[in-house]
Amino acid sequence: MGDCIDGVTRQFWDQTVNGLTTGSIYAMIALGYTMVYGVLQLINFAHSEVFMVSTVVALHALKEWFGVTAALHGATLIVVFLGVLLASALASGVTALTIERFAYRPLRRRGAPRLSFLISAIGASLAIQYLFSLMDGRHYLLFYRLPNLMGPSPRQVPRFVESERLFTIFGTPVTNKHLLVVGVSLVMLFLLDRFVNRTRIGRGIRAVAQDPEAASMMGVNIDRVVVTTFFIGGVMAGAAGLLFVVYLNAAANWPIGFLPGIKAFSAAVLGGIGNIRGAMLGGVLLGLAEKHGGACFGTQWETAISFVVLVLVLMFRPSGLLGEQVRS
Amino acid sequence: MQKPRWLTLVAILGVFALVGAACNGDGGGGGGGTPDGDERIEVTVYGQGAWTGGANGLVLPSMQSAQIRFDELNAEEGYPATITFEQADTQGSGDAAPPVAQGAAEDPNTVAIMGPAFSGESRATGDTYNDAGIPFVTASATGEDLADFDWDFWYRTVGHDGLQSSLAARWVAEVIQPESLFILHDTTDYGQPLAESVEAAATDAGITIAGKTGIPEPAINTGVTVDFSSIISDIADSGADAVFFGGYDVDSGPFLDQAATAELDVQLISGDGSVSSSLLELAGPAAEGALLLAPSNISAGFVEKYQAEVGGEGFSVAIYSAEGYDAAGLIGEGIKVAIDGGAETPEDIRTGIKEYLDGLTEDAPFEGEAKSIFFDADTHELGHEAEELYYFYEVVQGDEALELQNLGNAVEVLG
Repeated sequence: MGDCIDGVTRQFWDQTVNGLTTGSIYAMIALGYTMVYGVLQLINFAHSEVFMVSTVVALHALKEWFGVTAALHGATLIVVFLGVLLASALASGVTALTIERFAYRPLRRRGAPRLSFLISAIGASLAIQYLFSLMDGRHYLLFYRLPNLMGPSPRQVPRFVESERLFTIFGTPVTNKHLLVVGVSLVMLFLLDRFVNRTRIGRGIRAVAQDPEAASMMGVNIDRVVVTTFFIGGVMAGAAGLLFVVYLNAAANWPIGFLPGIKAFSAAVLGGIGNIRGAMLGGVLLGLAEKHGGACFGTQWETAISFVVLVLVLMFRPSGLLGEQVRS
Repeated sequence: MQKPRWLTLVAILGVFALVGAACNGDGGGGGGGTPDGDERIEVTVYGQGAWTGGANGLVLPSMQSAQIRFDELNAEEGYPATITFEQADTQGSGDAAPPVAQGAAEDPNTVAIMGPAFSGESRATGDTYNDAGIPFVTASATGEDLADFDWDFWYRTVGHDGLQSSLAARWVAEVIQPESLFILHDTTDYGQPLAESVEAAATDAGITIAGKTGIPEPAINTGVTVDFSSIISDIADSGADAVFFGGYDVDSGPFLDQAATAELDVQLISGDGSVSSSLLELAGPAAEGALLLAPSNISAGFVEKYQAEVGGEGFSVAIYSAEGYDAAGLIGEGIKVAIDGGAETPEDIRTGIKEYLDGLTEDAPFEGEAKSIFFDADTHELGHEAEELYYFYEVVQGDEALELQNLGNAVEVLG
């Protein structure tokens, strides 16, 4: 126990910076899970592939469209970053819409049981993963040679953001990448919060989440709300994908969505699935729990610790931190 | 409205086409022709390993070199067989390997396997080949325990991790001499034993072990770049000035990169799993200064031939390329000896290859590009496993890009 306290104390600021950064990414992905659940009471297990698509598009955009081969600076960096952010977010948004259109809407129209949605979600997830795994320039879909987006091995996303120390907090260096991830996340989470709480379509989303039948009778277009929800969730996951590869200098790869996806799903449940602010809080808390837990028990336990925290929270508060209490 | 049935039919055909495309791949390049028009026996050799996936930088050079050798044999006048070299792509995963190996073993034309390339997949598939009576020759799987499986048909043409780890520990203790060492591994069957062997040897040598941890979800297993931030904080907190990493390039590369970003100044030392072009790409400038060792001479004369033959498809760090060329040559010679001795069926050729491999001796070895090869009669390890076969490298900035500078073999470096 003494080692644990020592570890957490000595690495407190290091792990807080690390946890806030990764937690911000989890929070952005978690929004997609929680928004879709809020509207459809459905866990979109293909959401991790929505995240994956953005990393591949970011790689393609940086290499092919912007011709980036080295770190960028100043206005060029800002323009390229915003351009890639737009491309990644849109690609993920469109992917989410496609999943909704082909994997869920036909089932919704037929009033299929919940289990069918779950199976369809898993099927969509696998189909997208394997489609991308075949995009190495050697495989065909019908008579169409699939583009070489993935290559025979994971491709390094160009290091276009050079890491620079901006300041220190109690000796812990805080870099431009930390600020970029946390800053972009905060801005997007704030915009989403305003959108859902202050706009007409946002009111529609909340209405459908509360009582879809009543919302429909009051003139809310359910299909439009569902499509908007998927698109926004996809856009947030797309932005998270770009931040993930920038922060870790990660290689784009078709299985890349699995672990961040499952952790973000846990974050959504931790915060109270269906609750947007809960997903944000759950993401950040999960990130912090992972990192501080690693400092306490050893880094190899990092992931296990985050899930233990999740289990403990659910044991004592099954609806999650900000979710509504379950009525008997 | 009722959807027309033909749409359903088209959809089903599309699915079949997709599956067909998925299974199709590139067949491994084929085996050349029959230039002299004589009656050759068609045989197939499978190369098992990470043809694709994150770790293929460690495997493709040896497979590409094997293809070069098989093409040469196919073009050789009077050679009695046409060898088709097929891909058995496991992506380096022990979990994915069994069905791939089963497919190779059930191919009636299979006479030998080059591989498995990694130790984990070797453990997962060795029984399959051994039970089928198919000789399998690995040019890169270095797990120390592989010989303990007592597979009659298994042969290894490189050194193993037992000697690698003791040499790494001596290198750390006698040459690098850090004040304290952090042990990091990827929790795989390859990385963890290697790192723990170095830990034990370093402890014996009086080096302080500042800490030790494993990566619970390494990229070699998940395909996802690891977030090393908390491990880096742990290492910084431990005060270590060197890290021994037991694992593969897809993890050591991002570790170096993220450590540099976090301003962690440590010396990375790693084994053959990190000796690849992927390390240089994934770590970027942070790779400079990394110290590596492997039972492979990547600056030997054969590498020039490899680069010339493979061209743009080649890897700047041609790890195990000469070993792959030699393994293919060894198999090819075995096929020739078997057929010249009267073997006609694949089963007889398999037996003939094994007899040829077993018949190699110190006085009459197979003379390869990397080394002369004969096998220990009991273990089927190299008969002359020696420190001279291990090479040490440092990543340096070359004229155009990062490259590996050969520091010499173990005898030269360690004395």
